[in-house]
Amino acid sequence: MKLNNLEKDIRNKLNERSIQPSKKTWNKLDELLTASENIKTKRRFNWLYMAASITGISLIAIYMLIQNSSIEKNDALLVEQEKAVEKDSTKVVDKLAKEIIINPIKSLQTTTELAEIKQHKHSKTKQTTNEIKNKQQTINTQNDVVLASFFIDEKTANQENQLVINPTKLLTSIENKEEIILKNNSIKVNVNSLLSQVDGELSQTFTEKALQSIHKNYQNLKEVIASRNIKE
Amino acid sequence: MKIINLYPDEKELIRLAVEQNRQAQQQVYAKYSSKMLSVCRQYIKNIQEAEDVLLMAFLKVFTHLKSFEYNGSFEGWIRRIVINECISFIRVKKQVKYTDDEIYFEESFNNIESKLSVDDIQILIDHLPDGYRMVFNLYVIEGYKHREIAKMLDINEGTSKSQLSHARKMLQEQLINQKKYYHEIK
Repeated sequence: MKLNNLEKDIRNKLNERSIQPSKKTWNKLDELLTASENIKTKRRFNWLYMAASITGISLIAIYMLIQNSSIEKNDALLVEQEKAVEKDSTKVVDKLAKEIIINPIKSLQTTTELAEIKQHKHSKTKQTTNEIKNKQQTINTQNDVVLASFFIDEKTANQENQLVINPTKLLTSIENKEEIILKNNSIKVNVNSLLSQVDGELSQTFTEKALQSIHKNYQNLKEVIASRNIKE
Repeated sequence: MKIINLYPDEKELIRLAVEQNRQAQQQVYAKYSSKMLSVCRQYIKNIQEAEDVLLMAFLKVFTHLKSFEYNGSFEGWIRRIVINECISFIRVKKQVKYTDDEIYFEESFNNIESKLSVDDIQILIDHLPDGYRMVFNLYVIEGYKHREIAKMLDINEGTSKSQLSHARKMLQEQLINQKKYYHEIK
């Protein structure tokens, strides 16, 4: 169907026509445009917030992982240090044992010094003090045994050629000799200076470990000496 | 409202409007709004409703301005958006009824002399039912083919043709009645 003259006329007239919209229309359009722009920017910012939060979480996770690995490393180092401390303590105990065997007076001094250190270090807690007291008692008894073994008169032993020792004689002789030693012992030890030196060098864990190892080694030493005495 | 044309080059104006330059957008609006309101008025009887539709159409124009590819005229692109907006407005407002009879007349429309003003033409078009008016506007004024109109209105091609013939017949009757009325007055 082709357009007739009237239709062409209608088309021309309508296409030429223009109707001016009211002024409010632009203002409304302006408001709508600003609103749509704000929504768009909000959406953009939402994406930004999302991205920022994801990166933040990932950073925290990485940081946590790094910290965990460093803690593991530190644990490994601590284990190594503990091993080293144990080794050192065994060395110290060996030295002490040697000293005790060689020079009972010195050993007595060192044991008393150690006891004093222990008492000072663990005076804060009751449990530790009890432990120290127990350890001290054991050390004293061990010392007694050691001393007893050393104060056996070799000459009398040779003369008698017997392995059996009279306990009453042994005790009296030890008591007498200890009294003599204590009377002759004029060496004074400055406890505070010793403690200050030790405080700087030793940590609490170190002392505990050292004491434990000393206790163990003393027990071993006791057994060894006892067995030697029996053999003799 | 008189807006001084700061950007004589239309491409530059569009580029700035895409970048949400409000001055450029206002210039585009000032340039095409009066013509587009006339288009809206062809489809919508109420001028205020036509203005609302124009507003929404221009909002779409500015939000989708990035997709304009400079293949056709910018005015044609805006006009297409405005027409689509008008059609969707009519569809949403009330259900459009299309007569399904595919009998269309070859009427003697050519013989009628046209001494009608634009307002008279608008009154004649306003009296047409929505379905007739839309097809008449799309075919006669916009120059779409029945196939395109059928696609746009989601109807058959035959329905589009029958709508047009019904619209023509109705307009013819109105014009004859108008002539009779003028003769009676004289």
